Amino acid sequence: MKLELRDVSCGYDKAKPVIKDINLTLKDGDVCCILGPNGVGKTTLFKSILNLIPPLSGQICIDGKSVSSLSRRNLSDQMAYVAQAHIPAFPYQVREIVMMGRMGKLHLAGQPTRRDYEVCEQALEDVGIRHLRDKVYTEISGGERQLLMIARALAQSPRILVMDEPTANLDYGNMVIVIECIRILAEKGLCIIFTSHTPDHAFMTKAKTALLFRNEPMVFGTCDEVVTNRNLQNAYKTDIQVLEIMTPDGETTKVIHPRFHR
Amino acid sequence: MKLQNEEIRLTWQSDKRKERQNLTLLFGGTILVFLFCMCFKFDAFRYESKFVPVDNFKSLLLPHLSDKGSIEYLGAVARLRVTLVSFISGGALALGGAIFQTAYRNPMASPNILGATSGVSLGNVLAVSMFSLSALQHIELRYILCYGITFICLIVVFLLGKLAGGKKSKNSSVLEMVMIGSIISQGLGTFTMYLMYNLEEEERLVYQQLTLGINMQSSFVSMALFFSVMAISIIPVVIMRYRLNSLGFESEEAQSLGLYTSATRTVAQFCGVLMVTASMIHCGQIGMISLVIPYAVRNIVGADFKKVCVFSFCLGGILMMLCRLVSTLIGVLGEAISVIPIVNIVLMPAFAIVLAKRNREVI
Repeated sequence: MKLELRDVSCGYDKAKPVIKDINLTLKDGDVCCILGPNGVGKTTLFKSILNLIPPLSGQICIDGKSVSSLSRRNLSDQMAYVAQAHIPAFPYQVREIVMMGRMGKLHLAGQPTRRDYEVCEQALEDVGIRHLRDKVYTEISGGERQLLMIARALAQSPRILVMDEPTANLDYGNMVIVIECIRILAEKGLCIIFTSHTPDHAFMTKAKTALLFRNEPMVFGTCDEVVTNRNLQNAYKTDIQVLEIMTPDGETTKVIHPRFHR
Repeated sequence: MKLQNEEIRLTWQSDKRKERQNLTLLFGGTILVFLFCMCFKFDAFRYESKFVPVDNFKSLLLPHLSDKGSIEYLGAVARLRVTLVSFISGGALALGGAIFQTAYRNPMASPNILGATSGVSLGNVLAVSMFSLSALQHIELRYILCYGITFICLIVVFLLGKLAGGKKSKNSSVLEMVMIGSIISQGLGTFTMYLMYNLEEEERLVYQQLTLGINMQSSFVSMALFFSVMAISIIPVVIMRYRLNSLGFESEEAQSLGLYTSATRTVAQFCGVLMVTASMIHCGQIGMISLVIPYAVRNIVGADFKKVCVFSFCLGGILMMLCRLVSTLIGVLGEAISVIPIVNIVLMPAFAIVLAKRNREVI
C-alpha cells in the first residue's frame, strides 16, 4: 500500500487555501506524526485525505488511485478515521460500538455475521480492552474510550489509520497507553497518520514527521530530521530545545523541553 | 495476540444465547398478555358482559366449523381487532419515538416535532367542521384529511429544512428541522384551536371522541387502512433495524465508516411519522409512550437499535393492550374513559422509577 499526497492544497476557498504544497508518501507500517501550531490546517488536511472535503489542487492517491474516485465504501475499506472526541448519544456497550465499524460492509438490511464478530473481538484484543467488551461506553475511562475508537476503526480492517489528536484530553498514563497502541499497530503493518500538539510523540513513535508552519512550506522527513530546535522554534514561535537523553536501559532518545526565561 | 477460533466461538455462543433468552422472554410475555387481553372475562365481576367469553374464541380458530353470523363469532372478531389494533398502535408509538430519539440524538425527541400530532388534530377538527355530528360516519374522508395534512406538513418541514441547510449542505440540519417542525406545529395548533372554538357543543364532543380515541373504528375500511399503513411503515424499519444505529452518527463519522445516512434518515423519519400518525388516528393522541418506552428500553437492554426496535415495539404494544383493557373495563362499569389518561397514569410513576434507578447507578 502506498499513500501519496502530490502538491496538495486544502481548504474551503480556492483563493485562500488553508494549507498548500503538501507532498508526502507513506507505506505499510509507517507512522506519520503531523505537528504544527493551532489553526495551521492539520484537521483540514485530514479531511482532505479522508475525502470529506476535496483538495483545492493536487492529488491524494492510494496505490495510484485518487481517493476522490473511490466510493465511500471502498475508501472506508482502505482508510479508517479516529476522531478527536466522540460522544455517543446513547449508552452503547463497548462491543456494540466496535461492531459499528463493520456497518459499512453490511447491506442495508444486513445483520452482523460470525465473521464480523470475529473481526471485532480481534480488534478489541489488539488494543487490549477485550475485558471491557460488556461495559457501557459511559462507564469506561477517557483512555479506554480512545482505545475503543481505535478498535472500532480497526474493525473496518483498514490499511491506513487516520487519527486526529488521539491523545488530546488524556492523562499521562492513558497517553502512554495510546502511544504504545500506535507503535504495536504499526509493527503489525498498519500505516498510521496522526496529529499531535506534543512533538515528543514523534520520537515516541519513531514517526516520519510533517511539521506545518503558518507562512512557510511544510517540512517532512524522519523525526530526527524534522523535530529540531530551529524548526520547533520557527513553528511554535517559542524557545524550545530538543534534548538527547540516555534511558536506564542504555537506549538514546530525544525529549522536548521549553526554555523558560522568567 | 491472535485469538483462538474456539475462544471466539464460545463468546459468540454465549452472547447469542443471552440474546435468544431475552427475546424468548419478550415474545412469550407479549403472547401471554395478548391472550389475557383477548380472553379476559369482564362478567367475572358480575356486570353484564358486553364481551366474548373465552370459549367463544374457538370460532376464531375454527372458522369453517362456526356460524359466521353468530354473535359469538362477530364478538370474537371485534375483540381480536381491538386487541390487535391496540398492540400495533402502542408498538408503533414506541417504535416511532425510538426512531426519532436515535435520529436526533436526543431522548426527548418524538415524531410530533415534525407535525404528526398537529396534522391529525387539524384533520379531525376539519372533519367535524365539515360533517358536523356525522363525522364519525365519514371515516374515509377523515382519514384523507388527517393523513393528507400530516403528509403535507412533513414534506414542508423536509423542504424548508433542506433550504435552511444551504446549498453546500446535502442534509438538513437537525436543529433547523426541529425549529421548522415546531413553528409549523404551532401554526397548525392555532388554526385547530380557532376551528375548535367555532364548533357547537355536541360537535366538540365528537371532536373529543376522535382525538381521545374513545370510539375505536373497526370497520373493514378502517382496519384495511390501518394494517396497510402500519405494514408500510413498520416493515422497512424492522428490516433496517441494525443499520438504523447509523442515524446517531455525525455526518463525518458516518462517511468515514463508509455509510450513506441521508437516505436512511429520510426513510426512517418518514416511516416514524407515518406509523405514529396511524396510531393517533385510530387510537387517539397518546404522546407519552413515544417518550417513555424507548427511554426505559435503553436502560434495560442497552442502546443497540436492533434490540431497542424489537423491545420498544413489544413493550409499547403490551402497555397499550393492558391500558385498553382497563379503559374497557371502566367502560363496562359505566364510565366511558379514554385510554390516554390511563397510559399517562401508568407511565408517569414508571418513568420516575426508571429515572431514579438510573440516577442511583450513576451515583
